[in-house]
Amino acid sequence: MIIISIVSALGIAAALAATAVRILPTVSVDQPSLSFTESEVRIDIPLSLSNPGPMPISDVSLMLSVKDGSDTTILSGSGGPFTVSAGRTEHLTFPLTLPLSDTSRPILSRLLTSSENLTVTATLLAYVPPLAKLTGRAFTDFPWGALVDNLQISTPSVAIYNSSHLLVTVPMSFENHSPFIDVDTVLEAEIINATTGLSAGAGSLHVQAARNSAFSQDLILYLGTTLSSETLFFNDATLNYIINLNATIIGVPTSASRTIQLAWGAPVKNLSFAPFSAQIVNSTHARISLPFSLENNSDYVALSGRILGVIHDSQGNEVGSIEPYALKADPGHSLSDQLTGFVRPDSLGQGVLVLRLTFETAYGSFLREVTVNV
Amino acid sequence: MSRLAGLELSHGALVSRLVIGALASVMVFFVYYYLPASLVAFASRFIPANALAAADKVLPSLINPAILMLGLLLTLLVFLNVVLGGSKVHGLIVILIGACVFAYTILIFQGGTISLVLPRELLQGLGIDLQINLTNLMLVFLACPVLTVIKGVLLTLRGG
Repeated sequence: MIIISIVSALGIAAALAATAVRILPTVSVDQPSLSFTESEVRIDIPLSLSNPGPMPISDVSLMLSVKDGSDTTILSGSGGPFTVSAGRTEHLTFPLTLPLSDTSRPILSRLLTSSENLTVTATLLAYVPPLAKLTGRAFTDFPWGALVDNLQISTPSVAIYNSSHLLVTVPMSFENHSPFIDVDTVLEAEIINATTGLSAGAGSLHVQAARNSAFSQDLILYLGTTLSSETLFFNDATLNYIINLNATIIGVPTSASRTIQLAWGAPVKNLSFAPFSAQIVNSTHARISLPFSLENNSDYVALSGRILGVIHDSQGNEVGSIEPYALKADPGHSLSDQLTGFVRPDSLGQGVLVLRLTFETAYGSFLREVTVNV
Repeated sequence: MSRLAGLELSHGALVSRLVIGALASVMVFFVYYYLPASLVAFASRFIPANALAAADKVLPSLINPAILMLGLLLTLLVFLNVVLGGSKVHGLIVILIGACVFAYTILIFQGGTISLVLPRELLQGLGIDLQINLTNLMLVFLACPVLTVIKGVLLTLRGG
């Protein structure tokens, strides 16, 4: 009996050891899948567990939680209990849920843009009936990599898009330091006039940054209304805008904003007139010539269109007109020429004449009143 | 003829008992003393190099110092069991062997639940806290010493 008991005990122990040792290399984890709802992010981790040992493993359950530095649970999940019979393989999905509550959203937003250490705690329960019951707890620090780190919004460049909009190109870059999560989202951008607070344009960008990679691309914004301002047509200015960026990353709405300044150069700058000359043609008309110069100080707006004008005397009566002038000045170039027109000869003796000039361009019509001595 | 605890043995029988007893005690010494005393060195052959530091720290804690004392005592008792087999004290020796193995088994199983705590600094930041309840397996292993004690009691009742 003693010998039988020794042999039995050693046999049972060997079977238990074989079950414990042989199962370890047969646990495999497949690629997790993410799904998003309004209230949570769910990460499903497919697991397969083979039991080549001679004894069944029952009541296997696994719990896992991830907490941040302030001990707030960010991610939690539990699976089981399930049984892996001897010689069988079990396939199961271990779900982890990331609740998107009001309290967790700020934490998640922070985790999108900052790397920090998270505490991972895993608890495993398993039973090899009737001999062994395992309760195991493992805990470790998990270095979380920010999904959007070192976000750079560089100085924008501006170009003409059409008669009503400018094309603002904003180079953007960031790094995805996460070893697990790809960033795939649409970045919605709105450009706000910082002075008026009104929306001045918008754009969007499809952002795709694989895990452990850097993203660099241009955000294209369509900025309207700027050219229609008469002030900006004739004067340099510094334009202040706020770019609001909004995107949803792993189910978490996130936003950022940047203030940008555009150095605006007036398409018509330093408009000046020299003394004009007049030549009487007949009893009702005198031909006038009016030398002028201007500078297109814009970096990107080509000045094209025409100048029209009417001439008034000092009492406001219309006494003549300017012949249409074809206006053309490339960005950064000056223009010196002369306007011509006709006035009534009697108006030449009134001391001053008022020229009401209209600059007709593709971006709008702009009025400039000029008083010239006769 | 030699007389030991009421047992008369020829010179040849005594010599053969001494040799067999020595061999048996060497085996017992190896299993019950040497292996537990050399657990770290023995286990290190199967443990990955990066976990050796943890094993050095944790494995000795699994071996109660009393286990080694019991191992030495068992070595002596097994030797005496062979040499004094059939004598008046043979039953007592068998009882003591059973009692020693009984105590040894309980100590090895830490009373039924083996605790293993690996602090974070040992496994590159991974902390492990394991509780393995092996009470039923321990009971199976206790059957042998219990039967041994019963055998010793029966031998004693039969008068050695």
